[in-house]
Amino acid sequence: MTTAVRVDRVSRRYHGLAAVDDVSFSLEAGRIHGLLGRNGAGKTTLMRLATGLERPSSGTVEVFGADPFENEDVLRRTCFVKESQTYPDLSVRRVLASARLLQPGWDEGLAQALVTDFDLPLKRRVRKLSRGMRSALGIVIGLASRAPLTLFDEPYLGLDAPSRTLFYDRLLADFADHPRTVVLSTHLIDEVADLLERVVVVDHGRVVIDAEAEDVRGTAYTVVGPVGPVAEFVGRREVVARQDVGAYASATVRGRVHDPERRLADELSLDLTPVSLQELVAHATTVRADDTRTTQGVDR
Amino acid sequence: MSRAVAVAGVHTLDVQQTIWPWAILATSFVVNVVLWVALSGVDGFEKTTGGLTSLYATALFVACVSVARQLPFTLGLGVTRRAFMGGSLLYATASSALVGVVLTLLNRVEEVTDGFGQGGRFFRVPWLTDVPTYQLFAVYAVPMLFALALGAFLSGLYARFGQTGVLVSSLVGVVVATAAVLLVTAADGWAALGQWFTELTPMSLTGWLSLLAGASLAATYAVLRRASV
Repeated sequence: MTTAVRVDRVSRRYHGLAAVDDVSFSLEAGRIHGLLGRNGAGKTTLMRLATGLERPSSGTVEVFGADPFENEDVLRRTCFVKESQTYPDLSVRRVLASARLLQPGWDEGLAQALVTDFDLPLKRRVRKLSRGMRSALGIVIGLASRAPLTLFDEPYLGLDAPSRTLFYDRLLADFADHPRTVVLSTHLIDEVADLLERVVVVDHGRVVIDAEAEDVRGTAYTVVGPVGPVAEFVGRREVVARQDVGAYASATVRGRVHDPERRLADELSLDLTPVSLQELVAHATTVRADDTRTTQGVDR
Repeated sequence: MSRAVAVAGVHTLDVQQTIWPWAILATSFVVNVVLWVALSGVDGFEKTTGGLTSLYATALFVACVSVARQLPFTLGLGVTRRAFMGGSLLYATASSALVGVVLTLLNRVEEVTDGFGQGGRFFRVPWLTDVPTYQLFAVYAVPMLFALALGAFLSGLYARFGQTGVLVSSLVGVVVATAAVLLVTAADGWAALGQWFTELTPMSLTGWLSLLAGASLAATYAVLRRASV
């Protein structure tokens, strides 16, 4: 597997505050990666670093094996769709024509199909588009570009649930035919959980999880039942979170469910349910948030 | 290079950039002709006008807006700042050349028709365009390049340093100008400066403007390299 993005001991400070603090991770080419975390965790800064919009204060960023900053050869293979993208005040048609000029891999047929799917008015000026339509325009550009490295930074602002589902469906369908490296930054984690192959979770400018999505999904489970049996089940297992409601208790346990756990739960008549990716990320990021630390995330 | 050409193409798709200066100029022209006709009997009414500056002033404004909205858009689509500068320069040069050609033609038309039958001077700006025909192109085109470069620089300044940056730069400009005035006074150089101005020809003024345009472009690149978008 080749590496599309390599971030090595990278920090990015703004006026002394570290938005990204000594971060290292790699993204393999040809996969869909989730860059997850709370607002201000450093997701956007990392994407800006990968697309050469920023330079790291220290450390190195490599995209397709080279520094992306002012690197024509690298940047022509990237497309970055930002949450609040500034568009020239033109008709949708002209904005798409502009993107087509700049993106070597542009597929006009796909662009037109997506415009129809999202019901985008080609003649309307971007300034007159609703928030959701503007997001849809970003999505059309991001997908039709077929850029070897495509980054979506919270691309769904103002999009309703059916349109978001449409985005996920089209992304997956086009990705299957034209594999490329996709980075999806979002906090609607449950919605995209099935899409992601690998997840990097950042919090307060640091990486807290960097693993296969499949592996992350299985790293905790919840056991629910009467207080006594739950306590007996938990025993010496590591509990991440626990909640008692009257005679009932619910405990989130770190680890995987294997046969012994299943047998024990059966014996005690307890329910075992896997913890969703969203909850896991929430646990990983809130635990870290309780730490006392000197650096703070900066929302950029 | 091909990336710069693509950026220039994006600029041409932004048709307003090209249309606005000409539309404003056309409006100004119509207003002036109406005035010429209406006031043609009035004694001492000079049928000259500074209406041509509307083209350049609008171009400056358009360049400001253009950098502000095209820079973040194109950089998100994988354009380097260098390619953005190159493509924008390509577009600005083409726009200026267009201005040079069209205004030279209109100058000739105005000459041949004796000020569109009204004896007016709209395109034939007194002094500035009283030059041989082959020099007209430069006299019209270079101020356009200067206006676009200055607009791009001001917008780049804003992108790089924000509102305070533009304010501080303006203050620095005032301070420098004041210092220059004091310096000329101290050196007793006003007579020499006046002499310099009287000796200025349209072509030497155009030469100075092209130097300023070049300086503006270099400064624009310097601020855009570090501008946050």
